[in-house]
Amino acid sequence: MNKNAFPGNFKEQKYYEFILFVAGNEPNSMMARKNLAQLCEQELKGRSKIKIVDVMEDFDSAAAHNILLTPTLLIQNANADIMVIGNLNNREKVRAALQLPLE
Amino acid sequence: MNIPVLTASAAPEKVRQSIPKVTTGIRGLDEILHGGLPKGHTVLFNGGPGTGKTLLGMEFLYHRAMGGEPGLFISFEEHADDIRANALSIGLDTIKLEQSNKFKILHFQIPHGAVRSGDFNIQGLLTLIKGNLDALNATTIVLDAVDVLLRVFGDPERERIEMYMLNDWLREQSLTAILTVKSMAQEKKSYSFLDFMADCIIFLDQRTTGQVRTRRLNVMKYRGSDFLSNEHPYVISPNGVVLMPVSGVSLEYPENKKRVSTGDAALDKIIGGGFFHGSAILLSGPSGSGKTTLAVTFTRAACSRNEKTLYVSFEESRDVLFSRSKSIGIDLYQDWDANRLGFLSLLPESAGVEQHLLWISDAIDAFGPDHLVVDAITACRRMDSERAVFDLLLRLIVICRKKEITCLYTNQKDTMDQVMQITGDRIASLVDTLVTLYHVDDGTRLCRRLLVVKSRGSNHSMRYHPFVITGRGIAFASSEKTGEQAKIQEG
Repeated sequence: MNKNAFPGNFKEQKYYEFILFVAGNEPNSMMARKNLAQLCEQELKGRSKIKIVDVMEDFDSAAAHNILLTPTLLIQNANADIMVIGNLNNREKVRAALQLPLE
Repeated sequence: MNIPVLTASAAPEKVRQSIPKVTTGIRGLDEILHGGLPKGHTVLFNGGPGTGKTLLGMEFLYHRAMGGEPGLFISFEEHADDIRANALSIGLDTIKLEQSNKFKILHFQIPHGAVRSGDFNIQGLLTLIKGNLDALNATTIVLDAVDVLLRVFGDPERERIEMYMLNDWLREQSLTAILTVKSMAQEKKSYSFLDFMADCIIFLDQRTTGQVRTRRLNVMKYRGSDFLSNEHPYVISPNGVVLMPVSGVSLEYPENKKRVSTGDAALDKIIGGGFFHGSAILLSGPSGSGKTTLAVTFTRAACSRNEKTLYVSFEESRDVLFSRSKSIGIDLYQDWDANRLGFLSLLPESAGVEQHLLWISDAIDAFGPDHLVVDAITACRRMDSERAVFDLLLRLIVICRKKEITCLYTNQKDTMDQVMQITGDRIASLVDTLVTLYHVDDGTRLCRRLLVVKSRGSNHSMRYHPFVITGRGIAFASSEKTGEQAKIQEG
C-alpha cells in the first residue's frame, strides 16, 4: 500500500443507499442517472442500491426531502444524509462525498 | 347647483388603468400604483436589509387571502415561525389564516452546504411550488429573498437563465407574483437582469439623516400603467405599512366660501374677512413675535363656537401652553375639559417625518377636528432635514384639504427680511394665507407688527399693523396711527 493512500480500513466495506431525485427526462437528470449507474457499476459493485424519484410525479417525496434543485443525489447515512446536487459529471466530487479512496 | 370638482380619485385612474390590477390593501400604496399591482404578472420588491420587503409582500398576500384569494408565501431565508411572528407584529394573524387553508408560509432551505457535481436547475422547486399552489388553489405568491436562491448557482449566467425560467413558469401559471430581492449599495452584485424581467419594480430605501431613520418607497417601473413617481415616505406601523403619497391633483379642492374668524375682529378685517374654512394658513415670524399667541387666540375662538380643534405642538407640553395662554387671558382648559380641544405634543427628534405625519393623521382620524394648528412646522427640521418641513406641510395640507380642515401652521423665521425669504420658499406657494410677524425698533422700544403677505380670494390689507399682547390677549392699534404705519413701510 502506498504511503499517500486514504488511511481508512476497507476490509469491512460500506453499503450505499442512494435516492436520486430527477426531473423527468431533462438533460441533467438523464446525465445524472447515467453517471450514477456507471459509478455503482465500476466502483461499488454489489454494495449499492439506487432508488430514482421523479419529482414531477412524486411531489410528496420531493417535499419530504426539501428537494429544490434537480438532479439531487441523496446518500443515505445513519447520522445525516449527504446531499450532492448536479448531474454528477464531476466524479471526484461524488467519490469525495462517498468517502471513497482518492485515485 | 354645485359642479363637482375633479379630484384625485376620479379622472386619471379611469383613463390610464389599461391593465387588470389587484389591490394591495396597503394604506396609500394603491394610490401610488394607480389601483394596485399587475394581475398575473411579476413584481419585484428591491431593498436593503430592514426596509420591510418581507412585510410588504406579506401584507399584500394577507390582504388578497382575506379577500378570498388564497396565497402562498415562500421564504428562502427566514424560517416560517419567524415570519409569522414578524407578521403578527404589524397586526397580521397569519396562523388563523393558515388554519383556514387559504394561506401558507413555507421555508425552503437552500442546500448551500451540499456537494456540487455538475449542472443542475430549479425544477424541484417548481414542482414543490406547484404542488402547494394546487393544494391551496392559490393565485398569488410571494417568493421572499430570491437572491438567496440565486446564490446557489454561483454563476451570473446560470442565475439569469434560472430566473427567466422561474419567471416564465410563474407567467404560465397566471400567478400574481412578488419577488423580494436584497440590494446592497456597496455590493456590486445587483441582479440587474431582474429589473428587466419584472413588470413592476418597487424600490425600498432606508437612510439615516441627523440620527433619525427615514424610509422611502419608489416605483421604478410599471409596464402598462402609470404611477405616482417620486419617493414616498412610509412607516412600518403596528397596523401595517402606511404610505403617504402626494397626488398631484389633490391640491384641487372644492372652494369653501365659509369664513372662519381668526379670533380677533380687527385681524379678521385686516385679512379681508377672516380665514376660509378648510384653507391653509402660515403664520411666520421670529421667536417671541406672537405666533403662538395668534394660534391659541384662533383655537380658543374656534372652540368657543363649538368647532373642534386639534393642536399639535412641537415646542411645548400641554401644561406649559395652557398656563401660558391663561396668563394672556386665553383659557384653553375649559375647551380641553369639554373635549373640543385635542392636543398632541410631539418631540421632533423622536422619529422621522413620516412617523410624525402618521401620528398626526391618526389623531385627525380619531378626533375629527374642524381645524388643525401645528406649532411650529419649522421644528420638523430637527426630524431630519430642511426638506422635512416641506414634506410634512405638503402632506398635511393634502390630508386637510380632503377633509376640509382649516390648518394653521406657525413658522419660525429669524430674519427680518421675511417677505423676500418666505415668498422664495416653496412653502409659501402651498398655503392660501400668509401672515408675517415682526419686531420693529422704533427708537425707544421694540414694537410688534403684522403684515398679510397674501390671502387668496380676499381683499386683504397691505399695511404693517401694530399690535400688542396684553393680559387680555392680542389687540390691534386703532386705525388712526396710519402715519406710523407709513413710516414702518418706508423703513
